[in-house]
Amino acid sequence: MNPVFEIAFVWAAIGAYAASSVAFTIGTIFGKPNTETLALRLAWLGLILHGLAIASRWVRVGHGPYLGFYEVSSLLALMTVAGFLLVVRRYPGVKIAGVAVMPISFLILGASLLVNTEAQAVTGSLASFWLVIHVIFANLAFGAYAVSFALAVAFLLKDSGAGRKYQVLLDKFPEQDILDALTYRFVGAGFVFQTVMIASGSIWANEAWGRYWGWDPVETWSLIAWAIYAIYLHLTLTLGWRERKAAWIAVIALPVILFSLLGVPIAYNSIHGAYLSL
Amino acid sequence: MGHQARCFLYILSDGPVRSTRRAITLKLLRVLRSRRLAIVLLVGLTLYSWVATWLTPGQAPAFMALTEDQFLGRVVTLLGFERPFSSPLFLVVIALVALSTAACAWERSAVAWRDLRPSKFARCSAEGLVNSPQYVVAVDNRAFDADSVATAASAVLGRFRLQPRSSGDVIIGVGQPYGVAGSALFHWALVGVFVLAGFGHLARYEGYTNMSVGKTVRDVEDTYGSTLTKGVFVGDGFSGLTLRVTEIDLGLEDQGVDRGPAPLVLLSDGNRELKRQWVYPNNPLRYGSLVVHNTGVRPVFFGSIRSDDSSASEQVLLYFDFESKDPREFVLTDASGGSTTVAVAPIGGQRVAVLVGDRSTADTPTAGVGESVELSPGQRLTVDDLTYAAQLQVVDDWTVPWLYAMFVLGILGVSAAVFIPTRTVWMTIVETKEGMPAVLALNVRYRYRRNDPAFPRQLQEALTRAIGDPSATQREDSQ
Repeated sequence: MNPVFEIAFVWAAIGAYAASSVAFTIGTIFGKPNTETLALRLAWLGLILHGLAIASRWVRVGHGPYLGFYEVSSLLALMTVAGFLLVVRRYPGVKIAGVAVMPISFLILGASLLVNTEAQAVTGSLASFWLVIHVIFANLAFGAYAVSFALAVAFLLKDSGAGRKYQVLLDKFPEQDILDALTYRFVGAGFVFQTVMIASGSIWANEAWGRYWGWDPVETWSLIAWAIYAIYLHLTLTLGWRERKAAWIAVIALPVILFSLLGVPIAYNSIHGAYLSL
Repeated sequence: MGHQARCFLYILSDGPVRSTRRAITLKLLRVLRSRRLAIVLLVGLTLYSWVATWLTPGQAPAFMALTEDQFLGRVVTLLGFERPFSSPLFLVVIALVALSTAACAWERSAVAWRDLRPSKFARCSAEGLVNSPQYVVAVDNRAFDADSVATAASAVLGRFRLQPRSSGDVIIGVGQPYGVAGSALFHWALVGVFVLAGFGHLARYEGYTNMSVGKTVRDVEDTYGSTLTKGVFVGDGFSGLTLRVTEIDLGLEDQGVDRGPAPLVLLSDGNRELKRQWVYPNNPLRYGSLVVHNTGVRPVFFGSIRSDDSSASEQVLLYFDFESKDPREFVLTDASGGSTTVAVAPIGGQRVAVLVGDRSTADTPTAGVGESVELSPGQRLTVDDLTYAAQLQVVDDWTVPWLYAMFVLGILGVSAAVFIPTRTVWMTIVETKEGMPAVLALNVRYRYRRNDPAFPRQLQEALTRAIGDPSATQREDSQ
């Protein structure tokens, strides 16, 4: 397939995400429901275009979006938007979280285009079905965590906005207990996905390199992110941390998982660097 | 027996010591299963791992340069952080995390066992339902009698995936029990991972050997020399089998995929061939718990140094990097005791360049297999062979499959804990005969986990929709 299609789709998706981000921001600040609806439609349009971009690349290069910074971060952005839109279908009031989700997705997808977008061949240690499992669950985990982040931001906005200027707008949010519960559920789902990601990566590492854990920076940072979400789950389930305190942890944890997935190969020398090469 | 006699026997039977020991054990268990301790340990592990990523040699060069600063370097050395993930401090943290996880797993197992006993549900619920319901649904008395209320309420329970049961006058909705057991299973699996990974290090051996085509080695301790890592429990664990590289393909293509340079490895027991396969990443040779990986193929130089005045020769073996083929050096000692550095570099076409001491590169002699280069007057280096060698990693670790089993159990456990809600509902129909006709109400109690706080409201709404009195609902709304 001609790469022109892929380029056209990905730029159109970026445009739609950017427009959706602007529309969500305007809709939130000025309290215009029509603008929010438009923002949501733009997000759906961006998701479809983004999906087409990934699909056309898949057909062209012969493998899924697993290799290199461009492919991996593009898929992360797609999963984040998809997760967000799925939640909004079930809980329409959560659409306000688009204020956080759409700019994050726009920035991730935009940043992915700043690096080398050439396709990498699946060779050597990459040629394994564990790659597919590992990457899919990494993306599912990030998508779930990104949505939990957005829900926690929505919770904190509602919490801090009581009796203030945007009360009418904040009243449109779901009830705080719903936001709190949804944040927990998405963290829980992300934790399960991340556990599968780490376990499958461990098995794959043993097949490819002869050791299941080597304290490589990417492995260690995965463990750090996993431990932070484990702390969230322990605090909420056993010590009864709820609402504001729990939401802050969900907010703080997202940059850690984002760094572990995309930042570590840049900041460290890692054996995983080849898979996320810039 | 009098009190004094009993005390005397108690002391004689080592009772105080056992009692103190038991008290200490219980206290220790209480500390270890503390949720706060678990969180503190997780925070500690996180912070330690974060710092360690900067200190691990070769991982963060910019930061490592800072540790060359005398003060920082001394701190790093003092704390044993040169190898942070094997430092005593880290091992203590990991051990505490493992113990805390085990204590939590034990506690959660007890909770799961208690919650999974059906009789407990009925006994707990029957007492408080009539007198202290968590909410009451006013029944639409025109449309429902007691039997139809029970049927409709059971149907509502079914919609929440709660299995309706009856116990006397009480309708009990019981959720899937797996969610309760999931957390315990997950924690036990984590304990299993800690134990197996730790024991694996003690019971595992891992050796490396460079093998050129045709070379044969035996899987015995002496084969691996200084490249062997052996756990203290290995003992005579080496297989004694023979490994041989029969061929090396520098660009193996298998199933349409470029696998890179790969050796064909033969494993045999005496003259009996046990297994023969191309070994490349994701395709190790397995035989029982013995696993052979290929960690790289490298050009290798076999040479010999001969002196004119002696028939003896000195062997030279040099391994090159596959990609860069950077020169490798050795030190040559002459008859007078002086030493000279000799560098050998592959230049393609089965030839090497040999640079002696500080001789000008313009004069660098080259040689092919069977040819010689003069190193110094009376000393010659002969190229015996230029070939490739595979570095094989040979591991025997029987804990790995069990570790994978723990991964599977852990994933099942955490999935059950997160995705299967733990819910129980108790309901009873209360008939008030103060007025005529009798008024029916449904008293409800429920139990759920923190992860679905919307459940009581959703249940109440569903019950009200199914059997509620619309006028009562309107009255509540107007209030």
